[in-house]
Amino acid sequence: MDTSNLLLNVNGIEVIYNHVALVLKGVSLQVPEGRIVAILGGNGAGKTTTLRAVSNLLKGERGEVTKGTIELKGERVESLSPSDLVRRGVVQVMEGRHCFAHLTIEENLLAGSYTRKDKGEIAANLDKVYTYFPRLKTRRTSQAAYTSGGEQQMCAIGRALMSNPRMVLLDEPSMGLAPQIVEEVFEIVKDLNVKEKVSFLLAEQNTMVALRYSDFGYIVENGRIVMEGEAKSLADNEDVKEFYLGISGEGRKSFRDVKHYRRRKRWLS
Amino acid sequence: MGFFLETLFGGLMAGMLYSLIALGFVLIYKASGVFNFAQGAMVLFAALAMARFAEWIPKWLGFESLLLANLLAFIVAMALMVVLAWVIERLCLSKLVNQEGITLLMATLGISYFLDGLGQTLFGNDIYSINVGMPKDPAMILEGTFEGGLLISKEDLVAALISAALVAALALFFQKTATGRALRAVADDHQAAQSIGIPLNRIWVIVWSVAGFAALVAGIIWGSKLGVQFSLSLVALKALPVVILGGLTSVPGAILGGLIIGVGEKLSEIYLGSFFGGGIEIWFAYVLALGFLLVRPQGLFGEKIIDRV
Repeated sequence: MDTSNLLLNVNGIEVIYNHVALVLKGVSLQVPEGRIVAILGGNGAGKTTTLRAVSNLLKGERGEVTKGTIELKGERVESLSPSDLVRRGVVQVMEGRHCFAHLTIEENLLAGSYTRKDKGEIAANLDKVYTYFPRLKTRRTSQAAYTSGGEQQMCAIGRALMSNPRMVLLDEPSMGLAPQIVEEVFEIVKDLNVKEKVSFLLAEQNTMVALRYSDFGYIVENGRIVMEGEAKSLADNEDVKEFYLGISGEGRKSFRDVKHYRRRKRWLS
Repeated sequence: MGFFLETLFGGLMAGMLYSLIALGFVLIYKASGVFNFAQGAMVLFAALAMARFAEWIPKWLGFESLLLANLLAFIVAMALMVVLAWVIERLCLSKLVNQEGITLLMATLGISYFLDGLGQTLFGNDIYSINVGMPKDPAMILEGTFEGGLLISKEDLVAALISAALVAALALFFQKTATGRALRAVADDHQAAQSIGIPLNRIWVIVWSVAGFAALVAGIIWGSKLGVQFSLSLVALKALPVVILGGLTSVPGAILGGLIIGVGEKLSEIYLGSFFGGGIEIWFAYVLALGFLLVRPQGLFGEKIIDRV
């Protein structure tokens, strides 16, 4: 990976919840400016925790970064408040969308511009969000809780964009959405990345889609990074195919073959 | 007819006073999703501060003007409420980010006892009076239309007008300003609000200060009516059925709820009271609220509980 233009540099962080539960055991990753980087892995692997560590939302969950450093453009950011980070251009879209249920879509978006004070800038951002998410424009006056899952996800991403970020931490955008909507959401993400130069750090379980849209991938398991590489080479990797994409060398397996020998996860021993 | 109208007006104005206190509950609930048990204690605390400072400040500075004394006392008491909001946020709420609603509720219960004690320790536990020059004598109106005219308490009328103005201002604040929007966002989802850069600690200080302001106004009006004493913190109990009826999340709801309770109380006492042997004014509101909880738990104007499945 090209390391000359790093936006985010996470260096060997360790996260402990409730003073006892060690969840991240030395995670390092880099996001270059203007790229989409994916963190992949199963449930409880530590994807969300990694994102929360970066956006400093761990405190509400009683978590704490105990080791390692997080640098944004070379500046240490571990002790900043979430609101300071948003001001510096890093904003998280939380897993499960978390729209403000009783606010309308437009109010949701405007709430996202809390850190921006310039009225003209806010109006321009709102226009921008509406051009990327035309669906939101049609639903602007309905309460967020009454919109569909896909619209809520778009609302959550749009709301984050209202703060004019350099980098969006996107947690499980595909969760609970129909495959078609997932594609739609990812297309927009790619679009934003290309046209607006927003970098994305994305946590996904849907490995297939995530690898198709991202430039670089990290695979986390048990709080450690077990594999990393260009998205293309990861998608071609035999281990990744078997464990995360569900296809092995011989093509799709039938469950009728009672005994099949799984490849060993080499990194586990 | 004249008697009925007189009762009605009396009820409406008493209702406005209830809404004034209910407003404090609604503000904090709307902006942080916490049912603030300490609202009554805040009313007492603010009223005590107001009463005592209005008495002390002229003595310290050596002047006589009542207006100036009240004005200064109001400013000092308001500053005190802001400091209080800040301390509550620092010592209590900031430690409870993202906790269950019930945990926060218990915390406000604790704050309530603490404030009751603190107020009386600082300001004394006698009965004090607040004199902000409210008109004390009643007025007769419509003497031509009804025999003997209608007896209206000017004091209640002024109080009702003040509360109406306060409510209008707050409703605008919540609906139209960026801060108001942020407050509503925080009420819906603490964490999401935090994730898009709304600083929770500042929002909480703001909302508790605004609630402190509502408590101060309520304290002054009730205090000048009943005198400032411990029982003032109990008028908050009257606000409970009001918020249940109007909806915990609605500022206009607090008003309408207050009016319904006020009028209902007075009319039921007069027209139904005799069937129960009188005194139903005391419990009528609670029964009404209980009935409402069965039929419409979110209240008249409360935010509907939206559940997606």
